[in-house]
Amino acid sequence: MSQSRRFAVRAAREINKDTFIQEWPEAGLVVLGATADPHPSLRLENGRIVEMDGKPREQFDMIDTFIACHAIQLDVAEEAMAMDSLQFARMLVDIHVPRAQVIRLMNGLTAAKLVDVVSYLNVVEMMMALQKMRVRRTPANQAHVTNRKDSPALLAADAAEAAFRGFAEIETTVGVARYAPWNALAVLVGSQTGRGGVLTQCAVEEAMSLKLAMKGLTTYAETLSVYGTDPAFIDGDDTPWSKGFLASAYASRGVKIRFTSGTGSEALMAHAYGQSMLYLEARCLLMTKGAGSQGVQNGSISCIALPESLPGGVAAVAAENLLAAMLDLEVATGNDAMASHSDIRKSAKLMLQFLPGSDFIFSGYSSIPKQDNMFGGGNLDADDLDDYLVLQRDMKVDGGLRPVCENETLAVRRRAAEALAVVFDSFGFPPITKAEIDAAETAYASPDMPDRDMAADLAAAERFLSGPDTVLGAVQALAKNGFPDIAQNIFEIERQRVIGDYLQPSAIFTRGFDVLSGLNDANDYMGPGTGYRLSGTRWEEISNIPQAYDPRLPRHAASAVTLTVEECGEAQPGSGLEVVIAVGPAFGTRLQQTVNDLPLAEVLAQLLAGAADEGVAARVIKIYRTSDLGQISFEGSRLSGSGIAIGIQSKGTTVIHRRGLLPLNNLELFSQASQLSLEHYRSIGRNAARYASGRPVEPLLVPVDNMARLKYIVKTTILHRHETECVQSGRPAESLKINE
Amino acid sequence: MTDSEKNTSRSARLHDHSIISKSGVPLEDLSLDRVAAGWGEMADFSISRQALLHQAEIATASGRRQLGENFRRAAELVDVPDNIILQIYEGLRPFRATAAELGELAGQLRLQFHAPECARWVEEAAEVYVSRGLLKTAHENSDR
Repeated sequence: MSQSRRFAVRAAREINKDTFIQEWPEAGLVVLGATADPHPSLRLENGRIVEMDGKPREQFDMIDTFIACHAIQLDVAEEAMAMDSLQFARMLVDIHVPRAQVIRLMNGLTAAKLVDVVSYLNVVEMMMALQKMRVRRTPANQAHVTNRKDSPALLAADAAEAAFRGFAEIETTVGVARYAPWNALAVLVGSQTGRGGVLTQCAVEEAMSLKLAMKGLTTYAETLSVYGTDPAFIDGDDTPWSKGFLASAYASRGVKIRFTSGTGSEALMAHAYGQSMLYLEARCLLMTKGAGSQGVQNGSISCIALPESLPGGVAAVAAENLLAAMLDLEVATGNDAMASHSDIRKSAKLMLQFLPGSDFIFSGYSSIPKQDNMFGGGNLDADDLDDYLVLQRDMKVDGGLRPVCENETLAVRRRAAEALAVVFDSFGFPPITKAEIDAAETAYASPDMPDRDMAADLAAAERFLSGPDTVLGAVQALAKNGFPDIAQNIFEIERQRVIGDYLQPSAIFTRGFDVLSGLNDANDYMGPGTGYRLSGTRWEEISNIPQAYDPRLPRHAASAVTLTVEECGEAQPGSGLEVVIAVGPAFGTRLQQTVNDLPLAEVLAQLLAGAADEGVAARVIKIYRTSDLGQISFEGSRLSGSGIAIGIQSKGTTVIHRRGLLPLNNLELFSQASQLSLEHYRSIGRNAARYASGRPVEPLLVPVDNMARLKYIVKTTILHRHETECVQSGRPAESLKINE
Repeated sequence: MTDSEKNTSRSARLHDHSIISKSGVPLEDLSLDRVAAGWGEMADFSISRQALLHQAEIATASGRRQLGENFRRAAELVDVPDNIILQIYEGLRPFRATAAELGELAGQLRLQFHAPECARWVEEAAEVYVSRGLLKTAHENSDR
């Protein structure tokens, strides 16, 4: 047990719920530079590879063979492999070297060479390189939309909201596998309600996945996992050839695909061969490229806590994202599975993808509460959306999302559920009730949804899957029943299948169904002033979060007690025992409340009552020539018969001053106005009176709040700005009469 | 979408006019009104061999050789029925098929479906599976 209370407090922090281990290279528990990692080499004879990364062709395993046959482009391989890795590393961050020039050479590198190149980069350089090397110029984001009950109305509403919030892709999956066609349908209808052109997928086993695509219910798939060693791949029940065939099969059905890989999976399966996570990931990426996949989701994905347990783990995950981009692959950069208990650590890790931007910053941002995330994801979830939107605004970074207001969001959610109800009706499915639509509109999570008859639903879903109905029936039903816009969007998604432009690298659709891909929106970053720049209407959109208010407009609480003051001539020097209360120029006129929302009428009443408690007269004067508290109180003390004055700004900041002290000196200063209560003001009045009458005074202690500055600095600034606008230089202080 | 919107005028949709669906319907004949009136089936909204070959050309021309090759294999698979696709995929998984069975699948692809690139893919897999011991053996349960 800890002796130190500070150590004990730290031990209980979220970060210490995470697991940390030392490296164990023999088990593959090392991110980079394992002793079993090969050194880069490549030898060609008669137009074929006879040695790769120190291994002669006779010893090639399955993966080596695939990489040698399909991934490495022999026309540039010798030239590229002869180059110094450090020189490549510098090219990656050199703004004078165009991306295309780097890509051409990367086509010829082996796995060991690729890893050697990135091993020269620190994380800042990796971010610079990712900014330059990612395929699509415009960054984007992908959402997870699932729920524990497989509630169709909630799926539709959540997909609509995700689309409305700006996600370019939505991935769903199932709690119960037989729901797949329904979930795919619900997410398709929902997404096209929120924003036309959002790509959707339903992660299920391959045969089902192909069937969903054939019914027109999905547009992409990213379930094609690859692994970096033969036994791990075979444990995954596939080979590079089976996965490569699937890639072609999906494309033949007009489905965009990306592969899945990520550091740590081989170690998890106890098949790492003592090789580092990054080396094995480089092999995965070369297979992905060799199979002709347009892209990959990596960044450790579901294994993320494994590299993060190791030294350099988060940097390695950034490196694997970069490796994908270096190979000209679209990259959806993880950030989906739970990476840490610590919000600090999660946010810090996210920056490595968020700041440079990637094709999809998350390969599944949980746009639903994590309790409903059926991927086991939710590293950031629905609860964190406002945080994420603020990060975009803070950093002036396009993270793919946009701020939304509640009314519009609820309308979109409701419409999606209503549209799906129409589709359900047309297909003869058990109906989506009004109660479900109502619940889907405002639900937090699936427990808020009414239960459905699961047996009847599953029977209907299975009939739909095996029967003749397709997405075209949904289009027809929507067009005929008051949802022509949603029908149009789904129709357009289906029409785009025939064209196939979205099969090209990093393709997404804009609102107007224009494709943005590596072909027509190619990343052209070459340093400052080039590449994607957040500006214009998109920057305005990101800037205008609903929480932001116009500081020029006064924000009085409606219930404020109003102070009315009457000026009655220039304030004169007093005599005898008195306290002067000198108020700022906006006091009781333009401003009516302190920073702490105390009505100035009551504040002033308490100051006067405090002086009266001690039997001392007090009078109120208003200072016009300055809004500075030191000057206000200095002026008051100059006019005070006793020489004691209370200076108070309209925001509530107060000081007790005595004539003869310098303006910036004082008897007592209450600088954190937000901490002052009416009782405090009364005590200030009493203390001032005791100073005036020469009695002993115990200075008033006000609690200190470290958060006060954070909470009130903006309001303080605004209130002080108003006060300063009321300054009339050269105008003498006025005597004030207070009206009740 | 900010400044990238400027570029959408270069959208790859420029080649729309020459495209037909898998069923042979020209792209311009696909309309919401027709679908709303009950017209159409999924083959009318499926990509054609020609369209995939066109995408393959675009990919290759942009320096993406392997993507182009994938699209060419995909073009060959357009007319291969789902059940055959799944059968070939299953055969390519580890320990599922003998060398002869893979040879038959390759032959079927080449002769019945005019899919020489895909046939070559299966044959190449078979060669590797022989040397790496990934074929189904006589005593092995095929639904491992």
